[in-house]
Amino acid sequence: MEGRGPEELERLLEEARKVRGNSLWKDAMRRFRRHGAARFALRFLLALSFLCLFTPLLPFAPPARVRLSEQFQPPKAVFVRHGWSRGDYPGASGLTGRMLDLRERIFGDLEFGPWMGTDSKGRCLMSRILWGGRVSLMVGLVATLVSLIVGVVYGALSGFLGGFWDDLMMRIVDVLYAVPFIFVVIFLITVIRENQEVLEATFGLTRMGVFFLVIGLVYWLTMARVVRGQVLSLKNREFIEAARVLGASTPRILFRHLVPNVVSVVLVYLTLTIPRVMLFEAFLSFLGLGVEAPDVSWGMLAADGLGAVNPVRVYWWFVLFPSLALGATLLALNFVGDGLRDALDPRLRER
Amino acid sequence: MTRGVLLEVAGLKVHFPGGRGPIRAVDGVDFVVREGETLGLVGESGCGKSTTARALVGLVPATAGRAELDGRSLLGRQRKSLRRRIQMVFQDPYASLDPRQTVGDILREPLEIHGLGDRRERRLRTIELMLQVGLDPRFLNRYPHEFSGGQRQRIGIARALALRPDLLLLDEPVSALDVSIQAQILNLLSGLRRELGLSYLFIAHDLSVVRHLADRVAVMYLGRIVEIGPKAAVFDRPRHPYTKALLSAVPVPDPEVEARRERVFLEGDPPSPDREKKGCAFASRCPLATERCRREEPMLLPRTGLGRESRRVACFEVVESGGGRAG
Amino acid sequence: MKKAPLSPERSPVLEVDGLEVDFETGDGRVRAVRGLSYRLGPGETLGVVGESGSGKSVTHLAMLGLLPDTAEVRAERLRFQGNDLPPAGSEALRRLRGRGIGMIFQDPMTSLNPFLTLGTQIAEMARIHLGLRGAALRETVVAALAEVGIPNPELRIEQYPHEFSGGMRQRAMIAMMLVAEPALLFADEPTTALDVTVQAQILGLLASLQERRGMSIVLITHDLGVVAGFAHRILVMYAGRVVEEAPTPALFANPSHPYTRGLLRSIPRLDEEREELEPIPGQPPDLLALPEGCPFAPRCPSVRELCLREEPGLRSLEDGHALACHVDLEPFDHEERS
Repeated sequence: MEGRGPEELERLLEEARKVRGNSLWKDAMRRFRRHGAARFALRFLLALSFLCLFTPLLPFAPPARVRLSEQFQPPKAVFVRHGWSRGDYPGASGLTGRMLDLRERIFGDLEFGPWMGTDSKGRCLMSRILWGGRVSLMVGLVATLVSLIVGVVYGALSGFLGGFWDDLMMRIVDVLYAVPFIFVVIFLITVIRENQEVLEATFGLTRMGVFFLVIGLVYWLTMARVVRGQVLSLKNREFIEAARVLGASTPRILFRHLVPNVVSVVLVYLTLTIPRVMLFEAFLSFLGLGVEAPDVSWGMLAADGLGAVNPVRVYWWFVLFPSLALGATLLALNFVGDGLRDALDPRLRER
Repeated sequence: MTRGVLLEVAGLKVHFPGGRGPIRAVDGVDFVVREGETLGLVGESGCGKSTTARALVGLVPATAGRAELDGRSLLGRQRKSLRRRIQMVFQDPYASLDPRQTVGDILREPLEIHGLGDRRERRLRTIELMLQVGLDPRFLNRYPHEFSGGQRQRIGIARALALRPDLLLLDEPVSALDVSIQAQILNLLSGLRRELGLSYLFIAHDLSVVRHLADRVAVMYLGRIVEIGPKAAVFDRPRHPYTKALLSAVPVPDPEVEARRERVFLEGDPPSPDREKKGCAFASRCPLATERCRREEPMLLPRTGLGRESRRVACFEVVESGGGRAG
Repeated sequence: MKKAPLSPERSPVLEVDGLEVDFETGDGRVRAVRGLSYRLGPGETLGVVGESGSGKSVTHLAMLGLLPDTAEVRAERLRFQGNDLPPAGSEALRRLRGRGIGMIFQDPMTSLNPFLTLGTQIAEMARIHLGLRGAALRETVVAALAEVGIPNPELRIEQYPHEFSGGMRQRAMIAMMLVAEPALLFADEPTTALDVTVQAQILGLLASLQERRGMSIVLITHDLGVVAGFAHRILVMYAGRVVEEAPTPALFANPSHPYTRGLLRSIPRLDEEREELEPIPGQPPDLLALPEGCPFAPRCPSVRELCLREEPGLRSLEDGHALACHVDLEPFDHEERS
């Protein structure tokens, strides 16, 4: 073969740049788009998240404002021009605060509602659902993220190390699995509550922050197992062996080869963990261990709802709307998870 | 060490811990590969040919023995620089490439690992490699699943060549490919061998393929070499009873040849590699087996001479009778 | 070589005409088989040769109704022992599978249930198809294993598939099929996953079974060496169609289709040395996007303009030799190869 001069090679390199390959992601996204339910669900979730994110900007009644004169009002479409003030939003600072200020400038006094009725304390339910959604979604995301990070690192390490270390690490997981989490979480949260100020001073952990952490630490176990399984199956694949033969170092194999190939599995599992986390938060808040007033979450709303007198026939909106919100979100997440799994799975089998 | 010898393997053993006793995947193997030579390692499943190769590149630990590339040991902790001289091409074109890397990434990786060249030089080298193996370099940014099996195997070969090795281990490089593609890859391999002055250790179960590509052939059975010699001698005048049986079982695409052949049928199945070690591994199925064969293990003889034309067989019956029984 | 059996024209065991199989996939419609016809006589072995994508396996799975629902099967005529094959999914076809027509596959590990002993699985066949019970059942099972050359069958029937080697498992598969005494056996790459010495054993076994029982066999494979020694007649398939059909000696003596020649020139042989192999250029065809005209045209060294426009039909040469090609090649020069 004639030697190719460097100029010729340069030219070919330039041409090569123009051709972009189809990564497996692109293929997966294409497949995902074909999955009707998942597509719809994703849009729903994005819309909901968007709505919750910009809730402070929207002209609805403050969720924490107690007005007994308006208690137990059924849903009605009304525009109410009651005055509200920033004082109705205690503890709103930073970005939220600025959004509220912006709202004040745009909408002034205006507030809509109560489109979904009011609760026993005269608080607008819709507003509470939206603000509650912020908290619930946030918990879902952040706590899942915590479980992701811990789980992936632990699982990848365990799977990769194999042998004695893998056995040890997995036995620890097994033991932790056997522990009834409710008790642990209750215990932890109670302890943390009592030492709130100390913690906040030394670690700068807000009450919510602790909450996220605790929940996240409960759910990392299954993630670790899933990741470990995937790593185990990949560990002896020929492309990993090839990397070793080339002289790749262990960190390189782990991060350049194993982790990216684990991501798809993790992603699917992630979308299925978020609903579980949200439910758990709802449960905790229901027990009174989660979010505290004046903050609100969907779990809390469920608790409120059930506490009302005959919530099904008389004050039906107490239960219906929050349940719909939570239920729809969880369902949507499941659909997205299904869609992702279908999209990513066949692609993993490359033939 | 003899001049011209690139790889020398002596007494190589790879044993794995097993339930009933160690699994002796490779049980005392001796051979050499000279510069520019292709040694074919053949045998059926479980004979240890793949394990031998894996031991040479450090994928499995060797239990005993010596393996030296130009005098430097390949076993134990391998120095990174030594890895550049011996590389491997794998069997499965679908599993041997990371599906999340582009061709460019795959080919650049060895260069990055060993710190060869600057960014620009590395990119140019990847183009050069693609051309060498007959791939259109415009596909540099494509992913493995966008290529066919044969093309993926070419990528695997290019990757193995990136570091400019002296010795290439090829573990069944064409077994997973369609018949019409196999010839393309085989031609590529012989072309590259010529152009780049490579030596090959070629592992295959398909004897016809080995015949085409190898200079010398070693036949393995249950972790040991039973016969080794120049290919024409081994294929046309096999001496070991297993070699004869193996050759007679290979189908030939010619009905007249098939009709005329004499078949040697082996009884039963090969014993498992964790059986008790006693006598010749082949004794249980050998038509010539005697009491001695079951008691003692035959050595690969004659021991003298490592010349290109040297021929060795591990069998009491054949060697003792002066090769009289052989064709 | 084997002596030629009865001519397939009289009392054919299997008659296929115009078989077509399409698949509806996410990426489009795949035409896996595009018009296949052949006849098989009693005691005859037909070798069906092709690479991946040729349609050789799909054809026979379709005949037995073993394809998934996404497949659409059409045929002008599909007859077994003179009677039309029952439609896919019907009870009648289910009963025919195993009883009249048996099938063995490449990987016996996936065909055998890992949770049941071998004896149980074979007995199931005998019970369903022959209605045997008790002692008679057991005897039949043991006899079947003995017939395929498995030593100590009385012990082996209590064992599980994973306790058998690859060759043994394939023998067990064959035993399972034989129990119901089929007149026709489809063997889809039965030896591809096996070692070459074991392959020789299994092929020998099939040959002796055929002689003893007068069974017809369709041997599906990519290995021309295997069919050279085993088949009476050979069908070469490419892109879902038969491109050449001939009695075995004739096919090798004078391969008439450029694909067949390409294959023969490109495979290395045990008994000869060649400087360079002549590969077939290009890639196997993409069944989602078949070109107009002959599907082999992009890779064909003898391609003419007509080939690009019109797909050739199957035409007869002499003596049972059929060819789907527009071009008449010079007689095959065997010298060229050595």
